Amino acid sequence: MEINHPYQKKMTAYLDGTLSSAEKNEFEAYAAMNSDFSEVLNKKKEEFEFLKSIIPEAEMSEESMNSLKSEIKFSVDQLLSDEKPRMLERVKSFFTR
Amino acid sequence: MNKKEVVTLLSSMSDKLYQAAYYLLPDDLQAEQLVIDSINAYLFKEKKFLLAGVDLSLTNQQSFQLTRKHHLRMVLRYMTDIGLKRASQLPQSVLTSNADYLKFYGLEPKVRFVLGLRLHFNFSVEEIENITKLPKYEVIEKLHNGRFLLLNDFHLEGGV
Repeated sequence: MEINHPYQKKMTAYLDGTLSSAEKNEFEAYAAMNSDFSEVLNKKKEEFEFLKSIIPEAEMSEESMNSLKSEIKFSVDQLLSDEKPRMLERVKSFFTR
Repeated sequence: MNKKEVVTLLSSMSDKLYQAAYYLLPDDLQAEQLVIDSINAYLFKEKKFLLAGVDLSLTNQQSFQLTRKHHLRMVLRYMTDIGLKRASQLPQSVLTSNADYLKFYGLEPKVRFVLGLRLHFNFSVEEIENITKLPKYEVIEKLHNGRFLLLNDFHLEGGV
């Protein structure tokens, strides 16, 4: 049975976390006072859990993880190699010579 | 931040970056390469910003997490640019090779990326807007469309 609740349209926004904190408080207060609305909200949460389960959670093997970290170190060494002293340090070293 | 700290920072988010890359490219090697290329683009373009960044040795755990989240979003911005192009050129055979997630990989790359960032990474719509450089209405539209298409199965299986 379809029941129209004043906060029905805000349900997805609530689950998406896009309501302002004031709207969120109002929404939660309304859900706490209306058991049928709260039930619909729980079913919507179930949908979200289902969605999470059909989106892949890729895990790397330890070997791949180590190889990726080595690549990151190599990239940082290469791309940040011409690191120059910061301006303040350069000015400081000029006056302390 | 010195070079060692940059390595620590970027290494600490490598699993998350790999996860995001996998939404676009469901292939171990290609996803790994996308992570490297996104990091390289980030290092190349934001070098000054990175080196002038906060000294990690002086930050507590909470600040480190915040710094990490900020840099993660930044690298993901580069991943969006590079990854979406590659994903759109991916042969269908690669997408259908992952039998467990056929429905997900049947969605267009932008929708997959936005859904993953929202549902697994818990980024807000505003953060996703910032990462993908898509206007807010488009982020919301992609979330709605993606959910609608994926939830067909849920309803057929006797869900809500």
